[in-house]
Amino acid sequence: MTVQEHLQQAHHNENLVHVLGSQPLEAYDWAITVLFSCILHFVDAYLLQYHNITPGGHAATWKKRQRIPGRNDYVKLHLPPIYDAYKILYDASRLARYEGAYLTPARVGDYQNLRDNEFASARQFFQQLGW
Amino acid sequence: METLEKIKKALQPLRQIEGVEGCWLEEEEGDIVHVYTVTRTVDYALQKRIFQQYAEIERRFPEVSFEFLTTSRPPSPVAEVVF
Repeated sequence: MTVQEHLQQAHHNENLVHVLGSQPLEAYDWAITVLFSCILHFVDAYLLQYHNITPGGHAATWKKRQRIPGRNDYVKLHLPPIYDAYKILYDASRLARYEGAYLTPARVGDYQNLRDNEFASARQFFQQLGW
Repeated sequence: METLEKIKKALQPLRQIEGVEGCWLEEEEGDIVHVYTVTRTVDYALQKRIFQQYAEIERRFPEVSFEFLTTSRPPSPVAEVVF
């Protein structure tokens, strides 16, 4: 994907969050997943534009005795202002996708906290770039 | 890996967080460690407390590449149980 395609995907996801995280859907598990996906595409756009990096996966791996950094490593190295927020969104989206967390309408508070704190702070960083 | 034993010790304060039921980790080749904290259910406040502890551990071991997660799942067959 190009930088522009990542940005297009990020904005598309951001618009979708509002639909998923409100009535009638109240699909907070998916809303949280899409919050993370939105930031992920901003991250990938940033890494590509400013560092010419395309991460191969989330976590670091070793292949043929060579360490391949993951996106998490690159966020820590190149995007320290959003690193703490990114890690929590990553974990929450993983729990939402694979472990049935944040499934019911009662989880609205968790979704709102993630949206208004971790997502908002990471989003603000990219807004400062005009994204 | 001597560092792994130090990491396991550093993870012990997670026990004191209400809602935390266990902790296990998986060491990959080289410097990669996946840490899983077990909770029956997770909410925002609990996740924040766990990640505050994770941040402290990450500061103490800058040479290690961590992947920090929470889970309701039991340890994998290759996991090392911390508590």
